[in-house]
Amino acid sequence: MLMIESYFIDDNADSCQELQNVYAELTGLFIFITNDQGHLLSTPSDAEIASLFVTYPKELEDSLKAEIDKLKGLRVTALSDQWIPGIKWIIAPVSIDQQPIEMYIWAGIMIQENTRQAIIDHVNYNSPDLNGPSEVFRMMRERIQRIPEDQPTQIEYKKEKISKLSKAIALILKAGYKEKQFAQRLTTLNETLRSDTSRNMPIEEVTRAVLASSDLADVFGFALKTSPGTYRIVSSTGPAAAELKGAIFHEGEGFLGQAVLSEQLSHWKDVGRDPRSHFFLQKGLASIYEVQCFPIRYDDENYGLLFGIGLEEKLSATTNVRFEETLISLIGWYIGNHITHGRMEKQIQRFKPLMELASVMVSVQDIQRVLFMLVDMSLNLVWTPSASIVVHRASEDEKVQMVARGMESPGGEAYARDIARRYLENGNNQPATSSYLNRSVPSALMIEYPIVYADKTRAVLAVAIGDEQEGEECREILSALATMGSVIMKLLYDRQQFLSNSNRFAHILHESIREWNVAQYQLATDAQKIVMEFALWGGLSKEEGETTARACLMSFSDPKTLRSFPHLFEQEAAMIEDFKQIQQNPNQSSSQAYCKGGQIMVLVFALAASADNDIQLMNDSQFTNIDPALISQFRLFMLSRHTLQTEISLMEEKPVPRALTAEVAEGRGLDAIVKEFGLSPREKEVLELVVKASSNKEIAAALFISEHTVKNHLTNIFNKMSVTDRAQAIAAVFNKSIG
Amino acid sequence: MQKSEAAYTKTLKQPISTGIPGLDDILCGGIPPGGVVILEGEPGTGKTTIGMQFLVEGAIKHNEPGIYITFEELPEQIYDDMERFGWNLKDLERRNLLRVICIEPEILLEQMLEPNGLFEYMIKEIGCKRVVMDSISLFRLMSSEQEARTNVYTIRNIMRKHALTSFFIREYSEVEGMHIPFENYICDGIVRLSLKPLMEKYRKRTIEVLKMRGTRILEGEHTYKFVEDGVYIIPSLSMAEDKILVQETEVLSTGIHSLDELLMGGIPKGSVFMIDTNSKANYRYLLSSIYAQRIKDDDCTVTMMSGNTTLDMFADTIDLFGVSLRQAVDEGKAHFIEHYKRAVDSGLEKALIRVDDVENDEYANTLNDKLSPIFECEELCDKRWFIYYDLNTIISERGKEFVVKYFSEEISLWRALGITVMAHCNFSEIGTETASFLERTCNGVIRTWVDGNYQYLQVTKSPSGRVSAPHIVANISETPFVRLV
Amino acid sequence: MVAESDVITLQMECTLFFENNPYALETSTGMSKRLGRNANLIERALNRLTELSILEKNGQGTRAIYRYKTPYIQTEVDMNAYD
Repeated sequence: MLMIESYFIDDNADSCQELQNVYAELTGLFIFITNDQGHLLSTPSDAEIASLFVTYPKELEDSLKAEIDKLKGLRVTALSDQWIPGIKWIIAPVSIDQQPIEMYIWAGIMIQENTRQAIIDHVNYNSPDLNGPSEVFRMMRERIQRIPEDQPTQIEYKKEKISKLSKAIALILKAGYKEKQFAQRLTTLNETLRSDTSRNMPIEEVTRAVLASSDLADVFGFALKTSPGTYRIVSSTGPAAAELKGAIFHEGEGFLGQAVLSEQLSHWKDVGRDPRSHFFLQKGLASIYEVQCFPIRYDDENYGLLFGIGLEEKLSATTNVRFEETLISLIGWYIGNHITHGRMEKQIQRFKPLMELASVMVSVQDIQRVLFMLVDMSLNLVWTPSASIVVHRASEDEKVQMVARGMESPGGEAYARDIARRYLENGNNQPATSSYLNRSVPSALMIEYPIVYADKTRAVLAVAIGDEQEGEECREILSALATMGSVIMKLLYDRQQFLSNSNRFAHILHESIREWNVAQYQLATDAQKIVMEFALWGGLSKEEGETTARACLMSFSDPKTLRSFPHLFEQEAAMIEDFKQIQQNPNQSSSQAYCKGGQIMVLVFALAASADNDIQLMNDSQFTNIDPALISQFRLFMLSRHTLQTEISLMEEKPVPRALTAEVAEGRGLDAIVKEFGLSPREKEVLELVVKASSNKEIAAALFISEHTVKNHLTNIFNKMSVTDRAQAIAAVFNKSIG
Repeated sequence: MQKSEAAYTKTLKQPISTGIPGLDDILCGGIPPGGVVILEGEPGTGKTTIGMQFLVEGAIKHNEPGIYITFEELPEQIYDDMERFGWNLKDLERRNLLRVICIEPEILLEQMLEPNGLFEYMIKEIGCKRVVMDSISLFRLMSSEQEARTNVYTIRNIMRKHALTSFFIREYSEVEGMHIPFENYICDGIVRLSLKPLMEKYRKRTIEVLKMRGTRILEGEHTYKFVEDGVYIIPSLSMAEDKILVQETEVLSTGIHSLDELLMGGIPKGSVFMIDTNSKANYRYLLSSIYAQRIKDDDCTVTMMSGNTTLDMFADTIDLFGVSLRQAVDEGKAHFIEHYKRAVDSGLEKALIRVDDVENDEYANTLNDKLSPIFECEELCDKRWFIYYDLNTIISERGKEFVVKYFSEEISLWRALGITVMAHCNFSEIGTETASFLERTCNGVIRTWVDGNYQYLQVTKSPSGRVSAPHIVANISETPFVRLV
Repeated sequence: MVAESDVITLQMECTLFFENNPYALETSTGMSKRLGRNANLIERALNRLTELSILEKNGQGTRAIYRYKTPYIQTEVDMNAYD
């Protein structure tokens, strides 16, 4: 039902009224319009008739209704003479498209040529066999007597005119109807799309709401790609909605499968016998007439499909088909856009935090922490987290380390071994570079990322994902994480290699001078020790301390030689150069500032070289080219070094500072030496005296043995301790003692 | 609670070694197990370091896992800070020997009170024996004094219940020091760390044990220093040497309680002690007490008689201490070396080894020949032996050179036999060189001298490294007739 | 409305915190103080981490305590052992 009556208002009604009156004038007939129930819609063109309707609305309505009922199904203008043959009415149904008639135009009355007398004479003339108020018949009789008779051609002409009127009114109403219907459609759409609820509605819901209000088809559906080549219907409206939902189809299969391959909308009609319609019949649709498909695309990627199914052929195009088609196409594009945006959003939402944390993560110092981080962060990053595992091969033996969540023993180990064999075997010379989707793991779909550093695949991050589509979507973000992991692991690896190399070579270089210059060797040892003390005291960072200590050890090596170790000793070489320059030009102040390490070396070597390990250093004039702040810091350090020793010497009964200072230090040192090198009690006594700087003669006297025996003891002690002289032995004891 | 109180007192016996070098010496062994010790100090005094060292040492050396509870500081900061001492805390955590826990104080309390709460769970998980809580000052800040007291008291009881030896760290400032904080009453010990001004601009770090239930302590402030592997404490008035006997638990009482205290229980068995007296000092009671105590303790003795004391006089003195010398002689527990041809009571003659006519060259062999059968005698070989050696007599009879040569040889023999030796000498009369030689040879030196109106006594050397302050020797009317004040 | 990325950022911050302090026992308010972040958001992040089995939650409401669940670690998986 169009409810045409509802459009017979305002301007439309005015135009129709006007038209009616014009035609009444033209034809000399009175004209009025009713609905299909006989209810008057227009003001009758004749005042007398109009007054009748005012007086007898119900009666007239009933009789007109009775007349309309007799005309059921009539779509063309007709003549009626039901009261008395010869009295003619024109009844014109207002026909809009193929819709049932909802409106009638009545025009009357006409008397055929040469029939007036016969009418008057007719038995029904004065006592009509029709129901109706007598007033009406009285008025009709009056009219019959005064209206002219019409020739058949005239009657035909009038009928034609009224027919035209009917068409004109139909046109007016049709335009109004369409306009109104369109406005209503837009209102519904607006309500669906603009409402606050729809804003937070998932895209499926919005789409469903929009399609539900469309009458383009009887059944609508919405399908999305779940993995490459496979689609699933996520929602459906109309008959068989429950059966259609969740149905799977593949690219190229059936109408839907073919439609996803096309960029344009696809439309098939009269498909009742088409085997491709089987898909729908199977889901419980009784018959189908047409299928329309709108692809969901964005940026050349197909995400899915909107489709509509007409169950029967549509006889009339009441709706704006073009509009609906455009609308649904737009929805398809909107969904595509939405999905793309959603995916990008999802990734951006994760990239942002990942990048923010990158700087923190780079400072991680411990390889196991990196592995924890990879596992935990990957779970934070995937859409449907369930399990994550990192397999790492640190050593050359056949052991790997695994860290996992959601994938525990024994399945975890089995998978770890599998990964190790595929990626981490020694023979794998070509490191893998890209991610791999592993479908062979029981009960999980794993995406695997090789982590490559120092030219080898050394670890693999594997994360469980919900489906392949998700794999596609998280690939980038997980790849970013894996890359970060490899950067951090490489940093740790390099640092470790670097440290072990630099310390090892520094040591070797230091040992090499021992052969030909024991004094320098010892000086370098002492200087290095002081630097470490200075660092521990807080004068240098741990790293600075280590570098400067290496520089001290290698202070007698040529900086050029040091630079020949690639990357290993650049800082140290620079320090040694500055150190030497400051030493060589003690009184010239240099324009350029020397590096901190070089300056510290000057101070440290001065201290190490001083006879009592206590430079009278601290007249600043002695050290041009050294930062006064550094000197005063170093001075503080020296004092704190002495504080303990001074305190203790104050507590001794006999003030013999040198010996007692040594005695304090030796407490721990001697015991440690005795233990470490297995010295006999006698040898310990000898060493104890050596440390107190006693001469062989003094030792002999003190221990009541001959000097020769002392020498024998010393030889044994030096052998046991692997030192060559007293100074080294003393240093060894000091090295073992406090601070 | 009463039951666990009792259990707690019962287990007081074996102290828990803190593992912090020097601190165990100050604590004469360590902290009573299950004891709760306040560790207080101003910022920067090293409370965290000492607390963590207690746990690390416990974990590594004694296989006693520990938990460090921090309320404010982040564990990651602590891991970092402690790395400079070479402590790999994360590795200890991996080995279930340590946990560094951060938690809010009220949540901790909640979990401690809850049966099978997280606290109990973690204690059980690693078999925790030691706890450090950093810091209990937080309880004061978050609640009223009364509540804080209840809370700390509750926590202390929980520590005892689980036999957790613990340090409660407390922020300390002079203002707070105005009145005595309640924790001092609740806890078993208080260790205070301070930074004291030293030589105008510099400061020295000191540690002081203010209280420790169940153990003796070395009072006073002791210096400590941060070294490569933690904190190192130097007990004051001590020399860090000759620690061979420090672990020896068996000590011989001197019979003088106050002197035993200075010696941390007495003279370690098998050690050689020297008593250095000047001419005016009265050492008769001192030596007699030491000797009488040996007999009382059923030890066997060899005594070198001095020229100015006859055996009869000696017997009379010993009698004052309630010991019968004759009976001891009869039981074979008292033997004497006599350098003088003095007559003795016939009952005592059998205990004499007369060496008056033995030449220096023969002395060692003679003595050895005489003593060996006694030491090896079947009834007596299981006994502890104690030798009193009068060096003054040897020096006057055989000369300094002889002492220097003979003494060290003899002593090493006795040491080897586990015999405890008390030698007596007057250092001022034998010259610095001999004196310092003798001092080096001995494990301990007790010095007594008269200065003005008082006689003083001081332990100037001991195997533990401990040196005492000088004490006044007061005479009293009952045994042992002397007392150190 | 809170951006998803903010919650994920918090999730990651919390994860890092617990990785660095594996034996921390924290409430959401405690974490909020530690990280200087809104307590409600922190609670959301912590609950998500609990769902991810990165954290373990003891108790309910504001008194709930979160702690790190150490991942499953095997340091000695023999590559060549067969299953």
